[in-house]
Amino acid sequence: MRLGLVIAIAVGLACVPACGSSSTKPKVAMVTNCTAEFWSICEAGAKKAAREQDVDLDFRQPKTLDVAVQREVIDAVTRTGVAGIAVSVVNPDEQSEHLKRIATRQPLIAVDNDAPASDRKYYVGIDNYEAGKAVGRLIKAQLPQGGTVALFIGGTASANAKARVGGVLDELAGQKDAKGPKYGNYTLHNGEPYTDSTDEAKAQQNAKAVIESLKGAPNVGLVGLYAYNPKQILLAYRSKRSEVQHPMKIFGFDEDWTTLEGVEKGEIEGTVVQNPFLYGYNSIKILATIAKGGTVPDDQIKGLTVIPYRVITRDGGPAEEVNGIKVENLKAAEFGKQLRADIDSVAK
Amino acid sequence: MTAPLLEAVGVRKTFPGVVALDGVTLRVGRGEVLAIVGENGAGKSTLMKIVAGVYQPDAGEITFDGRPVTFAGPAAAMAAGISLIHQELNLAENLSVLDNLFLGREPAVGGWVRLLTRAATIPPGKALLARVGLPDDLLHARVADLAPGQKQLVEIARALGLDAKLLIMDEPTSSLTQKETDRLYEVIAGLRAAGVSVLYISHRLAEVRRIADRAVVLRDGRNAGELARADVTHDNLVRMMVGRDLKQFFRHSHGKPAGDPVLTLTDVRYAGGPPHPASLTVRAGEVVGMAGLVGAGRTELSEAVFGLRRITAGVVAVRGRPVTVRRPADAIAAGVFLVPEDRRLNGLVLEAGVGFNLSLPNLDRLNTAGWVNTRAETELVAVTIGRLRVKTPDAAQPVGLLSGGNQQKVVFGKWLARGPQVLILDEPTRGVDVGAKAEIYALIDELAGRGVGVWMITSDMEELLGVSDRVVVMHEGRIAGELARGQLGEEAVMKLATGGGGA
Amino acid sequence: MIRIAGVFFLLVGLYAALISSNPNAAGRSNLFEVANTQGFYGIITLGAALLIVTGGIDLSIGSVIGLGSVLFGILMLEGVPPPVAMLLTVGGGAGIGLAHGLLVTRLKLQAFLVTLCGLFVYRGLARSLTSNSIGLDRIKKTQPDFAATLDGMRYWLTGEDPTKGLVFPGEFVLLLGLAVIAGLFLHKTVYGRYWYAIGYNDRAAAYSGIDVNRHRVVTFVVCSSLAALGGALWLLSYSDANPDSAGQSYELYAITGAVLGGCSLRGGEGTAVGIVLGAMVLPVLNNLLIFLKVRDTYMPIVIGLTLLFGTLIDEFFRRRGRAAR
Repeated sequence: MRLGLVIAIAVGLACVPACGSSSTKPKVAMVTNCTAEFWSICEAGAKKAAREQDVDLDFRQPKTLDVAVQREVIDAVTRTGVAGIAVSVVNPDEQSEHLKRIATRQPLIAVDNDAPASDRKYYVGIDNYEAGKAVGRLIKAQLPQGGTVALFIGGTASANAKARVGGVLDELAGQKDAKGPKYGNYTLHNGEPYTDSTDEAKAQQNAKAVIESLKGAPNVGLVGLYAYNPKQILLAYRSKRSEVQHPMKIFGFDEDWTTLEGVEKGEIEGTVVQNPFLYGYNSIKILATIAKGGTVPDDQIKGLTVIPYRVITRDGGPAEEVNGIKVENLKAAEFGKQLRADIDSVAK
Repeated sequence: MTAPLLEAVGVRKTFPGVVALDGVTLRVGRGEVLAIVGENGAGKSTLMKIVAGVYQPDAGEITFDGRPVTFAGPAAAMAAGISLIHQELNLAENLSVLDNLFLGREPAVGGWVRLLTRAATIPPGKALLARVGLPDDLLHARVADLAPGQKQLVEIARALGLDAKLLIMDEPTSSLTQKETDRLYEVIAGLRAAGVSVLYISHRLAEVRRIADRAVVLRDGRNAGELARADVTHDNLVRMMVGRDLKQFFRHSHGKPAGDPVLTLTDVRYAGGPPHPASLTVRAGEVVGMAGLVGAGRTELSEAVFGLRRITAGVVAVRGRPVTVRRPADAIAAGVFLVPEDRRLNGLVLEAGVGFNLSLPNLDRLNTAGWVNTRAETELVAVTIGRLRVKTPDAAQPVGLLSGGNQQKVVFGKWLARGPQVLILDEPTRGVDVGAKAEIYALIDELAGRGVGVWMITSDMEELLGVSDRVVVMHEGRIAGELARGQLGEEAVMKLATGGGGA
Repeated sequence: MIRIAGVFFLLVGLYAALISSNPNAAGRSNLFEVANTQGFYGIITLGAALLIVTGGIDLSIGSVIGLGSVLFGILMLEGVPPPVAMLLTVGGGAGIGLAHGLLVTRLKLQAFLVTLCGLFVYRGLARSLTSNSIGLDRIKKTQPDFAATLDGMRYWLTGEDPTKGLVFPGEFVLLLGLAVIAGLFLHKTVYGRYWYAIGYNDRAAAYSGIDVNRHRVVTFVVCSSLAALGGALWLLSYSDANPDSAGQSYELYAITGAVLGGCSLRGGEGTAVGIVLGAMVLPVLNNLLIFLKVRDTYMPIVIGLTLLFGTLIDEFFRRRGRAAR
């Protein structure tokens, strides 16, 4: 019986490669750091580029935000033979060794979270520190007299998480490498961000407990720094709204649909978004070009890899240049419509 | 008797809620083999554990080798020269015989490094094995590979290596073959000749008669008397153990069975069974004893009839009506019940209470739309406990804490309330003490008197001959022959059981 | 009684610490919040515990919660009215339990192995149903007709009101109801008696004429149905279900709760009251740690040590109980 099971599994696994397509198109791959709506948008962009470039695409969203899990997925994908791979690295410090070996076999691009020590060819993404500062500016604009802020994030180990948190706090403090517990006129609740290991239920429980413990306090800002955090903060706040004495302000990061609707309705003050669609689109465009034997002209590289962050508020505003980055200030309603159109254009 | 080796006077020991020993006195002479006899729960094991330092007495004085002693633990007793040979053997099975003989007192060199010097232990190890009659070449064998009897002898050899003056053996022959048992008797005789004393706990009266110089009988934690070798007879021992005369140890008061067949097996075969079919008839009011060697297929056949093995051919009929038995519930519905051989494994939920076990198979009749009818349950349990005289503090007492005899009564009790047609008993008195045996025999007699057909599988010859109306003998999966009560005899049974019947 | 004492005093201690930690922690709304989480934990713990009482185990509970939450949402998105969707979800859970039960009893596979495979399969199924989270907002927008029913169900099952927030700990009330039923079954009916007997010694149960296999299948069905119900409740209480993280590791929380509450993994032991108390520990502990501002890094350590402490209290009371006998 036991032997039979083993054989069945072995046969099943043996079939897997055979089930893949047998086309002769070059294949490129992209591995995200976890599964999220954010990465589904990225996937849409990647698919669009793959179609335009006429390459096969293996797009993988690992189950959890975990170095080991991601490493397994990367190994599995590269073993099937790809002409290039783009990775949103979970933890650059730990993974550079491994990624170096990957980079010797096929071109490697870091997306969303840079890993400079990994021999990656390019980094496609925003400057997370600058984006964090943009969240800080939103907070300062909404709570000008100071107050208490609570930060919520999946984990604080990854480089982009560190940069985002650092950007927010430095902007509030008005200096670089600021140390707490007071950051300018703002107090960081609990002295450190609340983490949830990307468990969304935990994220909501964290938010509820924080709202509960601050329900009598004035000038409270709740800041969600991973894509699902603003959504879970909003859901928690809706449930606790009748308890709270002074309205709390919510600030977000990324473009979860619930977040965008919250901004549109005024429940969330604003969200700083990356451009996952362009992450996917540009990464695959670069990889496809290399896979087909071409090179990306130097004058185009900057435009393809440096993706400006964007600030989404209910009412939007004129574009501006901050620290050398061209920042668009978009209206939530219009931004959402455009995003939906981008996704639909690929889905069909 | 001059200057006994061990003298214990007025030993008392209580456990929470139980007086295990109440003023017991014991004297063991040098080179004497003293048997300790008594029913389960009489206090034999407790007394032995006190002598061996496992328990400390609440009151009483113990003198050993002329000095008053109080042992803090088994190690102290061992140092003084008293070794307990455990019922569950106390050997490290994964080590060699040699390593076991010197376990805990290995000679070593190199100070704290304690390098083993195994070579130095070989000559004394061989000498120890010779004293218990084991060959030299076993010295390096793994204990796990030895036969049970050999393990026992290794354990004795280890005790001798500790210069034991008194060996305590707790039912040492319970898991031995006849040959191994004979060897053990020889070793004990040799020890006696060498001046070593032996305290010997046994259930088996024949054994006591054979090896003991003297027998001390305990009952309910007190001295019930003692018998010199010449006076050790079955009747004397039983009378002292039970405290009353057992005129009818095997009661046989039910009349000559003339009832109709209640259970008929016609050419029955079952999955995994022998190729030849078996047929059997049990009449109402009849006790059919079934004999056979271990592995003759008796238990398997009974399990098939009870729905625990799939019947592949033949017909099982109850009161002449064929019944389809696919699972125990079918057999139970037809009025056929099984009291299994291994009651601890198959018959009882040991951790649960007496009441839980008694009501378990009767719950289908003790409920209203699924709800347990607590009042009816309590009543049934109380009636059964009373009728079978189950010795238990209350109905909530976990069955595992009862004596073997009382456990067996509970297994019987599970079925009594259902008015059985046929009762299959598989080794009904194994591990049961004498007093409870008599009660179980009386119960079988009573059931037969009320018209129940009893099919009793047993390996106990006295029981087979004493209780059965008729004996069916199985040999290698087939019914080898049948003996009416008038033809019964040990020789006739054994001839059939060993395939000598020609049937 | 003794087996409950340990977990009872652990809970008393945790609540005392919570109430003294912060005035807001002792407030009605936070205690209700904790109670609701306890209700959720309790419902899945009940299923796990019934299975454990018969000597079984289910490692797929968390994945069934995840699949149930996503399935419940998708059915409503597809236009199935909420109550029907809920029944279908619980029915799906029952089907999963039936499959587990048959694999264990007919093919004689180990429950550990079967449900471990389930853990992967159901998570994968949830992911294949949707890659994005499903939120109540999206369902209400897609099926505006369901909004009122959905809000009603949400109110009665979880106590959550769209404007007033958490009005009463609905899931805890639901748990109490289910626990009373489970308690009656375990302690007052023939079935419960059979389950204990099977858990202690299934061979003795079989020799007593009990259809052991059928009862085993039933407990698997109950366990998975309650997990699927938990999935539906997940979507209702969190208003959002992510196919990847919904219910993840909850099988361990359920088993932990059952064991803390006095169930033995060897089977045959456990009481309904104990199960409820056992399930109440983790949520209050989690909440307490947030209020005590314990750094996230240390939380798992503190949780592990507290549970260990709870078992030590339990052992202490049991030894005293044994000595008194």
